[in-house]
Amino acid sequence: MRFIRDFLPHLSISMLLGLVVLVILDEHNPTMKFLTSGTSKIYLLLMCALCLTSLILYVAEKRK
Amino acid sequence: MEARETEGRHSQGAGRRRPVWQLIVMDILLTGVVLCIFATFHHVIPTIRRRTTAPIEPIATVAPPPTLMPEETPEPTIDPNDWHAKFAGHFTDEVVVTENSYSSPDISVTVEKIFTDEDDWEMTYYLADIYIADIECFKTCFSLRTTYQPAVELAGDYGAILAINGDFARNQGYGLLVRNGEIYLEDQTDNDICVLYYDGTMETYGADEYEAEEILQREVYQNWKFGPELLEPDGSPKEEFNTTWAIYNENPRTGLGYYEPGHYCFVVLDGRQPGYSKGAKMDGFAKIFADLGCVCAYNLDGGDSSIMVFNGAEVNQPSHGGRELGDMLIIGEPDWAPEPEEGETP
Repeated sequence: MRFIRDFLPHLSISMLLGLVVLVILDEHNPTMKFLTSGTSKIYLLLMCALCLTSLILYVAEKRK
Repeated sequence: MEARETEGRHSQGAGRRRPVWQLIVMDILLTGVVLCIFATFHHVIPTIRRRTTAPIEPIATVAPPPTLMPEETPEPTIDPNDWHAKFAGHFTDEVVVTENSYSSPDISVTVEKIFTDEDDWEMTYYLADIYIADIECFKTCFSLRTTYQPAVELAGDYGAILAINGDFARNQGYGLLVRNGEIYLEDQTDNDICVLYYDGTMETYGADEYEAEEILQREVYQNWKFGPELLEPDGSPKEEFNTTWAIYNENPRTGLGYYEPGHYCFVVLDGRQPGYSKGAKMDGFAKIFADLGCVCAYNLDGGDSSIMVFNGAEVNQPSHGGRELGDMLIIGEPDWAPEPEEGETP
């Protein structure tokens, strides 16, 4: 559990960095649909869930 | 007591704490892993599926308009719908092929290499001036053997006399897509589109200037959906384009121009090769079509895709040697059919 709690923020950071890369790629080649394909939507959804979970865990930790 | 416990927790945590540089490196590596997983689901798996599935199939067919018998007139006049008569001076009774031209009873193609050095910006482009007597001489063809094919091979599969790269429609599973009268997709898209009708007229539409349903109510023969459109309605070059800065900037380019029904031009402009051709921005490319006197013009896929094939050979110098293509615009004889392979019944 502690490992997951420690790992989640790093995964969130990585997914956010990945999103920045996808935004740049999409600007260069919009026809590849890096931001609008079905996979991208799942990626964004996963990232939101991860960030939310990380933040909830962080807030809970702070309240202890 | 509580302070001591907190201190104890901190000292335990400090014992396992990694240096900052290690965390940064780990996060960057993790980002790479995340992107690899994304690429697998976004590109690799769909590509493998496309390669193993049947070729793209149409969902409907647009029927060509019935042939109207010209009314008898007292004086002999040239019927504007009879392209044989209208462009008679360009066609020949027999097939005549030279190094840079092709003419037959239905087709006339002349390819010209043009070099400009305005403001020390060298550009080399290939202009194909095209006259056809039958709209079916003008086709857009998908690769047959695999999802993407070398340009010369793809053009050869359809007996193309002249061919240029298309709009990579296979990469965009959305928008309006009609090829050779067959409807593949009938959605709206954010791109400008170019439509060739059965009567030979060609029109370009800005992304917010058309409804796919209305377009399909007319007799659509082809449409392309890369863009942007290059000319204003009065034939002057546009100054603002519906595209991204990356596509707008200096690149190799491919475009399609329209003068009148039956008379078109293809332009392939090389780039990324200093000393030979650096490429053109979108406004520079639009100016070429305006100077040619086109009524409307449309930008197709560019970059490494920009390839022109004439009489079975590449005529331009694609950047990085070019890439394999998923579709091409071709000019070919209307009654051309592939030769049957050995053992195959014709």
